[in-house]
Amino acid sequence: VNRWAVGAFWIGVYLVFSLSPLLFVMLGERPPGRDFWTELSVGLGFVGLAMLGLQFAITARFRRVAAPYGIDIILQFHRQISLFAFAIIFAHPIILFVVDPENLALLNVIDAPWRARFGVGSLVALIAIIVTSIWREALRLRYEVWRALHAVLALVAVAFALFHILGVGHYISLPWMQGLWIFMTAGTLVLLLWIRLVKPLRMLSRPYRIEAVEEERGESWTVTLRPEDGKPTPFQPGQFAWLTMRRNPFGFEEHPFSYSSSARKRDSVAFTIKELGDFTSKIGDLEPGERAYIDGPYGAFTNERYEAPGFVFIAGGVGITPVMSMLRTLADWEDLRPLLLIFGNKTFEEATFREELEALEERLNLTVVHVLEEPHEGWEGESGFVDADLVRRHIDEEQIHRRRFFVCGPNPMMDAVEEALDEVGIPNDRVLTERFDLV
Amino acid sequence: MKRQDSTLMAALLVSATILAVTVLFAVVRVM
Repeated sequence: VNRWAVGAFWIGVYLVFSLSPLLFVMLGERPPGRDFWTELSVGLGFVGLAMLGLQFAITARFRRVAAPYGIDIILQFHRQISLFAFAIIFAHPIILFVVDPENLALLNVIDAPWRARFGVGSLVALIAIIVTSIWREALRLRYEVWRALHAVLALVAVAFALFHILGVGHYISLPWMQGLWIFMTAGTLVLLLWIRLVKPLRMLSRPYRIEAVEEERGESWTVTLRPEDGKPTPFQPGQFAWLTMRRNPFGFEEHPFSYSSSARKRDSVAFTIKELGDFTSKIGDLEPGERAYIDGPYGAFTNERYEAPGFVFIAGGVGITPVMSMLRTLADWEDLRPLLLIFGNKTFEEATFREELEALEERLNLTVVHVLEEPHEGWEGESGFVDADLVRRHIDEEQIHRRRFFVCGPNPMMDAVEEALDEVGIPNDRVLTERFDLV
Repeated sequence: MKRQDSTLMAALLVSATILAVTVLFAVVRVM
């Protein structure tokens, strides 16, 4: 199915749900003496609340919704749209204060009625969500703490906003209006139950055990997991999953990692993880036999969804992980289509899977081009960063316009490569990208 | 257009539509 059509469909669904409260308000009676600005303010408040509710749906990891894009893009939308939702919710009281400055008295939480206290509380929770999300690293919040905080604050923001509406009372006078609010609240609660209870229970019923933990080049570790029931959930090479290790799946201690093993391996799965943060720096301490849980697979970054006479992979650092899974799988299929891997690293020593890539060059119709940021003395290969000229040097003009491109690496590299491919003249729909710093 | 830009486009499109419809809502309500 056309990706644009699917995109347009989901944008349409989003608009219908976010704007639906306006329709219901329209159908109800209008409180007397309202001017345009007051009505606008009320409208913005309602739509903003609906958008808050939809944020739960966006991040619920529904595979069908995420399939055409990949979850990194969904989360990107979640972040971008949250700023707009916050802006219109913030505009709701501001407009009321400008229309009638006496409304400012509602901010006095000591004397103000409960409906105003809940409104202020909801807004404070939202401000806290935005601040802790944008400046998480500056605030030195650990990822798990931030996630727990994010979930609790989001629930507080929505619950308080609902109490605010109930307190104001203009929009719950008729039974069908009450029904609507109950329906919307129930919908949000069902989503929460799904995310926090149903999914963890399903993960709990399918435990994995750590089979091996192996050190790789470039401060990375490969963790091999074997399901206790013997059958791992099938995945497509290039996809990723959320892993929970040393914890039960009900907490917030889960992290997204790419599969690195072949999708044709039927008894175990492997993930390769770079030491980048608090959690990943302890991967090496994991012991074989420990329990782990997998929520996945997710992601659209896979060659198996696309027909092409050949592929070009451009990876930076640990961005090699999903590419490795694709290469290993292609090798298991004895696929002999022409493949090019452009692999950027700081030094040759750090090039994860270097030796296995050499071996894969024998098994596949694969050319590996290492690009070193800090080449050692005597290095005769490519150095610096991946740019348009470098791409053109390694693939001829005829092939360049037939193959499909997969790019995965740290953000600055991704920006540079996307620009380079644009310069070479590769249309956007033939370039698949995966950004691994999701949060 | 980069893939990241397309989500920004989608977010902007959604935001602009929501704002326009909400303004329209307010206009219709006071008519």
